[in-house]
Amino acid sequence: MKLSKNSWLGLAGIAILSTFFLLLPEPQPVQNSFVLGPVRVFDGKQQLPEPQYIEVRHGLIHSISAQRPDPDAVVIDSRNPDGSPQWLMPGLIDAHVHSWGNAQQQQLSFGVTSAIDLFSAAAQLPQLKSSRDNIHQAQQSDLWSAGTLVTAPKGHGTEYGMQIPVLHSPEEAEAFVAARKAEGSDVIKIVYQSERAIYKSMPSISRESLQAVISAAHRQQLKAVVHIAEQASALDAVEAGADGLVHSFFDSRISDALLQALKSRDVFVIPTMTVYEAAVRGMTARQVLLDNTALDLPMAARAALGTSRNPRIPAALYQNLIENTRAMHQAGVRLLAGTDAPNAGTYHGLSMLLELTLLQEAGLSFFEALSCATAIPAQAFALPQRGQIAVGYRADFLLLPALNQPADLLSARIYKNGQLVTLSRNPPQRPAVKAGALADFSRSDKPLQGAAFAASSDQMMQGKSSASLTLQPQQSPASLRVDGKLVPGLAYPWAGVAWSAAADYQQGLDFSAISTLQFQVRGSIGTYRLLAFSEGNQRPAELTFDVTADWRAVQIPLSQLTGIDASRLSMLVWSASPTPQAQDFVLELAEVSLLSNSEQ
Amino acid sequence: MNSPWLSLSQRVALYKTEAEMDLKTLWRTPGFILPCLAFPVLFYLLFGVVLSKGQHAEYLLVSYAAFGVMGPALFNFGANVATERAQGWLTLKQISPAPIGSWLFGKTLSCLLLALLIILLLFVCAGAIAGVRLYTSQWLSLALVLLLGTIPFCLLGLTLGLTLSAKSAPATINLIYLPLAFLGGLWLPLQLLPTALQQLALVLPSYHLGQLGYAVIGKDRGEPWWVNVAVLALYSLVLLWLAARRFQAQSHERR
Repeated sequence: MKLSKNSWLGLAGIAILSTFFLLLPEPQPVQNSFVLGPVRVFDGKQQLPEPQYIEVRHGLIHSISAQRPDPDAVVIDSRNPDGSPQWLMPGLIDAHVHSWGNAQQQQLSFGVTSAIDLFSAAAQLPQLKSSRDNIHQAQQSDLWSAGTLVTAPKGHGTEYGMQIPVLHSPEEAEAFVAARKAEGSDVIKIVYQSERAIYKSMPSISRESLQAVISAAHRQQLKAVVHIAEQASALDAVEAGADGLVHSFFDSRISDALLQALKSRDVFVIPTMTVYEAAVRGMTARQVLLDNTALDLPMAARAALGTSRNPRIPAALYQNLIENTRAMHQAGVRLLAGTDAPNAGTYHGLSMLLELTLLQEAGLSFFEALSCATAIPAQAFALPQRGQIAVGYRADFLLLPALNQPADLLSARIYKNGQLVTLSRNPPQRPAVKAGALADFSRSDKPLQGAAFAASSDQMMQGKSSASLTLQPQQSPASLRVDGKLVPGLAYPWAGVAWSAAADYQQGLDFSAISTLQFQVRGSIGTYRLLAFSEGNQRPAELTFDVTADWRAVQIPLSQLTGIDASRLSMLVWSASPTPQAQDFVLELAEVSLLSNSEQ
Repeated sequence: MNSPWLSLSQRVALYKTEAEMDLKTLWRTPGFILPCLAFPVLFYLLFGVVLSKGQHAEYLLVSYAAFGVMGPALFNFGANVATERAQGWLTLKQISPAPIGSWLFGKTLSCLLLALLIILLLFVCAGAIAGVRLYTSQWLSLALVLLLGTIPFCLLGLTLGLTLSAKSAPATINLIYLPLAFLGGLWLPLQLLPTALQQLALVLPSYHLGQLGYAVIGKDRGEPWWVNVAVLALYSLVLLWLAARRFQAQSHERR
């Protein structure tokens, strides 16, 4: 057969195209098919009777058997040096987080392979779904999210400077839930405080609205979970038909009526004891993690877990928290381990170990506590193929030399989608600042290092303080002048000038090589505060300095800024100190500079 | 127009001739081809490689490839058809015994060829410079999705070409092309746009083409793929109907 010139051309074209596509670079082949064994298995619900071989194919658990399934398969030996089989358990599920930035990487690096986000920006929702469908990744935890929460105007959730829609009346409930569903919310989270609550923190939606939102969520095939902080609100939420409570409470001991209601309506509870304990007692993190010198913890984690005790809450209330959890456990209420990270006193991933410790303190056995962090949350939130070692499930698991106590989880080899996780637990290094001037106010109020100087006040948290800045380049010394007003009202009122390391407040700069922060001040006479924030840590380190009508130099040794991570400092705020009455002030700041260790 | 008297081999020959002619026309207008190829490639190198330090190289590859293939579809059909209409060439085609399908076939083929060139160029940049790594199946599906996805834009171009005057066509098409790309989320990720614009994107074909592409690399916004396909198919049908009407109107105007 003789081919025409055109046919030859066509064939050549096809050949060239095929070669082209074959030459395009492919990803490194992923190792997500293998056999693991023999391992002792905690499958999320119970311990299996004898050591098992787990066969993983393409990221999914293909078979579990006491016999080695395929003699030719690559078997990853999982025995300890002494010959005893290692442990295998499902990856952890944190049932209460707020996730942004590199939170999902951080979670996975500590063995949290899935998490439930209970309020963060709705914009990230569509992305979450496709990334958890991706069975080829081993870079981050899978996240399900409530997106925007349901709250009243000026209610809890509106204070973070993020514009969110609010619910005004029960009539809006159906449309409000539909809007959340359209944005991609996987669950509806409602913030509620009962009329009967004694200490009212912020405005709340009414009981009728609560009822309406829960019913609307159920009609639209979504689960509704409720944020509560006291017993009265918990009872209302359960009676209104909530599927779960995302916190416990410690204002009083749990009543039989509430226990009965939780049990008979099969409502689950995420006690988030970690975040409460940190504020009320502040001991568990120290005992389990910080005082254990053998553990290699990131500086950022030490900073976040170290300080957060709130002295205004009586420590005795802590006992209520533990006893309420104990009572719920004994009554057979489903408990889910959740941390509320990254709130004060918590750290993504690591805090799960603390929650497990606290669950044990409330009377659960270690394996019962592990169920609360694996199979039970997966079932409560209907997370497909997660939370168990079972055929057809994702190969998200932890391989451990021993499984006796929460701290053992730190030595796990972590598998996500059948791939060994190689993420670093240390967050990425930040660029270091250089010793020398931080700003030259004779030229500009834009800092020489970092992103910006800006007026800052608690207005962004709905406070009433205010501040404005004027650059005074002609004066000697050239300075930045703050005209401010500090109005008491919030727990932490502030007004002044802020230096930020990066435009998004989420990335810091490394100050480890700096020993001292030095600046000149004058202004309205009084005591002022320097607040220093590190990344992901909402509670600043705080130091005071005096201001007089004449210029004076202030030197602040950075070693005194305790409880924050100086290797990722994100913001410095020079602020007036709170006084009983609202107060106007003027503060002039000049010659801000950094001294290095060698210069001292 | 039905040309029932043509034999099959005659038809094939006509289709071939038209295709050859249109490709030749294209070849002889480097002033059109070069910007068509250069724009998406330069954009990709600038935004996807240099400015973002390769962080979103994969995502932006899909963005600029989708943006790129829309270009020849809109311009080769839109601007060229408007010009040929003004020159009386279309009238000649309409009264000539050759099937009008051959004329459309030639245009479509050169569009697809240009789109393929853009895709190949971008793939080379992505693989060789930006460090994008995809499975062969993903590279292939991405190319296929983008090629098929040009069809509604070809039809949009055709409708515009049959409607606009030769002088106004290039400017008007730009006025449609660029906002279509921007609002469809092909320049900036949609979540960076205001909510109202995000809602608007849902009715734009550019958005749905982009989503089909992002789905290949697992970075879509989570709608089922058939929704994207259905919207693009609906656009194609409506535009085909519009183009057909415009075409009929052309023949009537002359009588």
